Amino acid sequence: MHCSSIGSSGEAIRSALESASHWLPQQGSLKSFVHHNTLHALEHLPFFEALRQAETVYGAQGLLSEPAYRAELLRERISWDQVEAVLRQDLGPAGGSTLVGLDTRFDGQATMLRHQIYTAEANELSWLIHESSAERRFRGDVEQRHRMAIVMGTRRCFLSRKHGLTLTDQRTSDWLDALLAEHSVSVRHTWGDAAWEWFALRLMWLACQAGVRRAGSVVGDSRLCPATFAGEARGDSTPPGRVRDVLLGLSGEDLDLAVNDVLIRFTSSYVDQGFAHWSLPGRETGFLGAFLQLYATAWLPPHEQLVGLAAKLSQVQRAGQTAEQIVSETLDWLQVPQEDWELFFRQTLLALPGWAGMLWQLETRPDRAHLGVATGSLLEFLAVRLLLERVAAERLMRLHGVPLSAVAWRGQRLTPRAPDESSQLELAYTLYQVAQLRGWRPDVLLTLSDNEWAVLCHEIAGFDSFQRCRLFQLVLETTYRSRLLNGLLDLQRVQHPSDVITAPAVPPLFQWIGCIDDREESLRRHLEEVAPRCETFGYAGFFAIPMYFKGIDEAHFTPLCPVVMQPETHVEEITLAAHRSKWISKRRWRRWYAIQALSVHNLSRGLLGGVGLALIGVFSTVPMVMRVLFPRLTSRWRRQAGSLWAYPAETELTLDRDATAPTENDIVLGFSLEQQVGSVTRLLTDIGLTRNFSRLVVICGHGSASLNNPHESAYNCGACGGGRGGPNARAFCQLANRPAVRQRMSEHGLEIPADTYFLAMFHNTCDDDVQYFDLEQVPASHRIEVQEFRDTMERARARNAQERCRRFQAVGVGIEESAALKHVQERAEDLSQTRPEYNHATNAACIVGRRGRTRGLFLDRRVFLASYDPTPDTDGEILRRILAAVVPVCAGINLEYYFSRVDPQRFGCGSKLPHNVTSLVGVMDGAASDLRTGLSEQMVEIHQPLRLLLVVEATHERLQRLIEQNPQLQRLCYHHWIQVAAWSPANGQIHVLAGETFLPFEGVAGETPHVGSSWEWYRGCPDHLEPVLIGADR
Amino acid sequence: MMDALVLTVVGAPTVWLGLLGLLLLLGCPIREWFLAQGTRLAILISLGALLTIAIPMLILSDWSGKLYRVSEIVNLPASHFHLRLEFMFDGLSVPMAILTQLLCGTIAAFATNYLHRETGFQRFFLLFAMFWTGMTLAVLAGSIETLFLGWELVGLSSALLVAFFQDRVGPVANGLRIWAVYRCSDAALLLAAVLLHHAAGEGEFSELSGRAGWPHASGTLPADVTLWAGMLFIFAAAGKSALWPFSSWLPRAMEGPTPSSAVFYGALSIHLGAFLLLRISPLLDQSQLLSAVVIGLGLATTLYAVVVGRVQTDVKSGLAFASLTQVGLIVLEIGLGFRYLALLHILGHASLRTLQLLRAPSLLRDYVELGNALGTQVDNRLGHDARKQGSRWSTAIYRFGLERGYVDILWTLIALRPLSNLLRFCRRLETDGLSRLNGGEESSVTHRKNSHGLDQWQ
Repeated sequence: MHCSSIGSSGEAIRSALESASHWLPQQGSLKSFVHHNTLHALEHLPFFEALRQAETVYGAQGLLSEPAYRAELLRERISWDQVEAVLRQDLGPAGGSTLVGLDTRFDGQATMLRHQIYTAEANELSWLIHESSAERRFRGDVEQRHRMAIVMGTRRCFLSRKHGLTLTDQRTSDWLDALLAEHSVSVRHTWGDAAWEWFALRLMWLACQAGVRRAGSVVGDSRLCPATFAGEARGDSTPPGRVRDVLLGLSGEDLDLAVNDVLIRFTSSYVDQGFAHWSLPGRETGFLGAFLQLYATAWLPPHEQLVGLAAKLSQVQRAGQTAEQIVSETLDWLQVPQEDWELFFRQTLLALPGWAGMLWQLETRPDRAHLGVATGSLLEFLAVRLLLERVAAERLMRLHGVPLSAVAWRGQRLTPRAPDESSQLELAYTLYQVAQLRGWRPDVLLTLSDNEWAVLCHEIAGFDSFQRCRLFQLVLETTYRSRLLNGLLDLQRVQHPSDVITAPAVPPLFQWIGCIDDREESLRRHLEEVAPRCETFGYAGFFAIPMYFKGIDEAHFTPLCPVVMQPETHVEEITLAAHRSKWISKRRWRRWYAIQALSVHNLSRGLLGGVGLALIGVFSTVPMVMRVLFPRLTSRWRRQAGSLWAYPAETELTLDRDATAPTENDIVLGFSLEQQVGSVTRLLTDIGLTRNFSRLVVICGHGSASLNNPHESAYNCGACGGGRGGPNARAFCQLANRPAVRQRMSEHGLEIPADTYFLAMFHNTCDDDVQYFDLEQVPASHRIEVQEFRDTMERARARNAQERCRRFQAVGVGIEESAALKHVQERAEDLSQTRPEYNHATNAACIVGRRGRTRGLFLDRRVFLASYDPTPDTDGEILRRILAAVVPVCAGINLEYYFSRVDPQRFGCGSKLPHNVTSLVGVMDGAASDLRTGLSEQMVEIHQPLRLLLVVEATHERLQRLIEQNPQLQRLCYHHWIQVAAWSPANGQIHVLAGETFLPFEGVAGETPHVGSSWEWYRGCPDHLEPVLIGADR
Repeated sequence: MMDALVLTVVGAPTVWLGLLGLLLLLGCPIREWFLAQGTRLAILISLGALLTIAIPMLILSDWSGKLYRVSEIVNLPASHFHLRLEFMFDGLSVPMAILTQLLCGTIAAFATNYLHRETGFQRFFLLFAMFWTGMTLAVLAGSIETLFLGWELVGLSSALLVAFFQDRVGPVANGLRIWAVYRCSDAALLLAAVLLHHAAGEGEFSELSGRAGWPHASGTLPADVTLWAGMLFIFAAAGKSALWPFSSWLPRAMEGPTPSSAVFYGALSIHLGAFLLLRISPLLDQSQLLSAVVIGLGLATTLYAVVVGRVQTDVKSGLAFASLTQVGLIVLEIGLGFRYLALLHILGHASLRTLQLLRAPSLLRDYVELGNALGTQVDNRLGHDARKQGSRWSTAIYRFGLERGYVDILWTLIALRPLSNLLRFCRRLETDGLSRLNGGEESSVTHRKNSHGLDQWQ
């Protein structure tokens, strides 16, 4: 340890760690779940390249498996013609080029897509070949003409004494002679078809094996495996691994078992937000300090593999080493060169990514947790991990006599990779299958030159499972894209211009503004079906009111706005002066009840309190049996009991700026008049509602409530940062109803008629309950409209519940509307329900444009709908800010679902069933595991992993300009993490982004079916449905 | 009439288990609703019969108990051996059996929804049926061999359910660990059974308590048999109920799906050891030494669990140690002679803990709601004295808690490592001996080199 160099190397360590930390999951406490791209660290790469890299870094798969894709193709009724069309497009002109004269590249790849190519480990393969009929009989799915070609060709060639083949390879030639000697000409003459089939396949298998060997001699033996043929994504030499991997290979003992065991326990104590009753001693001295204090004393070691830990730690303590020094000492010990530090840190941290990521989140965003952690905690975590690994590693090295040079970074890189015999066999077997399926004759194969074999192997190995899955993924996406875009174009064809531009003469019955959320699409559609004269809009569910909000029954301010925004305002819900005394007594009741509940909770975990409680515990069978067997009834009783201390309905929001109130962190109480006017104006202009106002405008926030669900906040409004959007809707309406605000707006040219009233509501997407705010303030003149709207909403939400129920396996497909509503309510109240709702599980697209152009199309709750009127937006300014707000949120949701679906174990958090809430920040699997991040299997099981299709009502020139102005958008679009289409407002043409240019989309007209209503289309069907035109009058 | 009821109570689970096992063995695809409804129906039948037996007992206030011999009911020919299937319906077994049926029924209903679409649904319900059968047999057992039968079924199903998620390493390793502890306690129980049979000629529990009926003691066993059998019983109970020093398996058992954790480790199988102690309590009355041992175990377990429970940060471990605290107290009560109190304690604690475990995933929401009502973030450490922080003692106690009382490492160092060394030594002896017998040749099976087609032509 050179103390002089520590300053600069400390800096370098920190920066390498900072880079490494990008690879950790970015999920904070489960209390507010924010969807984000799971592979955010790889966003600078094109999508499929990122998937390849994720495979190496995380060991996770970025695509579904081939059988899963085949099942999807079947379910989506996709024909092979469509698959081949996508393949043809993917290959481009190269598809027609010849494959060593045997075939075209296109035909080769198409065959490998169409037929499942079997592969297995070498041992299993050789068993398969020798013990099954694979060497004697064709695969069942080989076409008759190919069988004939192979058998007849072989027969013609080998029936006579001289086969007339010129073989360049001596070994092959010798084998062939031996084989022919074994079965003499006279014997061959007596053979029937079966014997010739056997002989042909034998030759073919021989040719394929020899071919792979010969191809290897051209490209160099060690590189001859499918993965390296596949190309650039994987380098020639794998990077050095962790010490643990080396020792696991050498000794069979996994030191991570001991290290993780200790670290999980300790880290969860360190980040605990208040579940445990005793706090970690020395927590305030930081991660390392607390660890030293706890483990440096020579008690028993925490694990048998960690004998000697205390000695090591007290040595560290005596030397007063800092975390940087410990890390740098380990780097020296393993001789890790500075350019590999980041890689080394990444590998080490990814042994427990969940906990490391949580520490990093708590360290960098302390505002989002009750108890943040000290800066530098991740570095200290790394240092402790390295210490533990070193203690365990040194023990194993001692026991097994492993020299340092074997585990050191440099030493590892020099060890050559063993030539991979098993992958040669795999490749030969793949070739063997393709040759059968394509009817390649063995006599032709035998005469190929070494170079031709190299080309052939390169082609076949290059089209590996990843590439095939990539193709299938493209097929799924292309299919959905053309169905949706064709639907839009068909709708456009049957639409009258007045459907899009509302006639100013008659204002709509009412106007409804909801969140862009895909789950609100169905509610909107049903509203429009129930009340055809209404108009609906979509805007990000915080309704242009970014705020820290504290409800009347809440203890803390929570941010209600997209995560990318930092609110500047506190808004509080308070009682009207008239009710204050009543509320205070209720609050006292509620507090008393909470204290009792908490002490019961805590006492039952303790000693004497536990005795008391246990003795009367028999009575808890009553609530238990009730809640499990009759969840709806119980919850109704509970609600009635809860109304004892429910807050009074009449409250008000502190929306006005109060200059006298104390500010903390520059956050003020309430909005200034300018801000109020700004928010209202912004929303109305963004969605294009600037004229033709109805007498009633309804703003609807949304959220979700369910029981026994640690991921509850993931079901809430994404545009509210995992919060519930009701208060935002309410605040917006109160502002928009103010005469002062309207006065100022009309001065700016946006006139809201005096008889227009804004009403706020809240939609619970789990039990489809709706709630209205400030009903008592509705003026007498609008009571009738409000009542009529509520009646409409009652029918719409029942239909919405019915549409949702078709996805639930436990419900009969023909459920009635009222029964459906009851069913979803029961789901929300049921302790045993792991799927209270399916959340965003069906999301697939996002359309930014006028509702008039999508209204009447059944979008199956799969589309985020953001309203945008291109007519007044002359310079694209409105579109710019809409895209900046909408695309990151939607892409984040979409990509999180994508990755959790394709690999629920590594990208998602696995099954919900064994989840165990820990430290009040996250969940583990069972007794002790890494912190699980991402979405659970139960949330994503019905999701179809498609990249978000963004359709924007704008010319493609404008859209391209806007994309290039916004770096984040550019990354997402040009690297194809989302698909983009521009839909011209003027001529209705659609352009799709391919590479970095927009190409015109050529649709097929008239393929979209017509149905009378949504119900006619979705009844009885549990699967994804294509877009259809709704409305009998068309 | 009574005989038929008794047969129904124990027959319903047994028949259901047999039916399920047979169907799954034959590879029949079973639909979720069939499993769910079948389980529910079987439990209802059993519970109904049980209540029909219990209500007259309650009305007449007659808890003295009655022994039913299956061999007499179904008229089996007399056999020359003394292994009898016998059931005792008395003041101890009837409440326990009612609790078992009630909790199993509730959990079955819960699991129907909770495990919907899970690939292991059938396996779960099979193991659940096995557990329920085992539990019913064990609590109603009138003889030690009947108890042993149920005890084994409970152990097997518990270990397999801990390892329910068999594609991950953690659950399987922990399941194996539990299995190992259970086997030790099973061995002790078996030895005790042999001892009793040897001394008394049969294994009926009434042998321990004489004519007086539970919990009164007028047993006639010789003192040394009492002592040894009692010790073995206590050992068995300690393993099954995770008493100190066997406690380390309890938090590890939280690997299965939430409902199985709830019913096993919150409610039923954790109390099975305590139940055994209650059942043999007449033995304790005869020996002060045995009572002292039970008291000591209870005390140690309670203290241990309280300290360890204070530092747990995850809800399931927290509840596991909370359970253990109460189980320790129950054992203490048994040792002190408060038999009815202990029984009441078991019943109440099992019900309460099951509810708590079922609601465990609600923790975050509960804390937010409580915090809102209190007007501040819920932080359990608030009551904890911060001044003592950092003193050597508090650090040592904290570390004791975090390391779960060093039980794991002690077992590893004292028992496991010597054992595995011994086994390794034996293996070496065996391989050396074999190779010597083979005349110095390598005795290990060499893998036949795969001839990859090409080689055949060389």
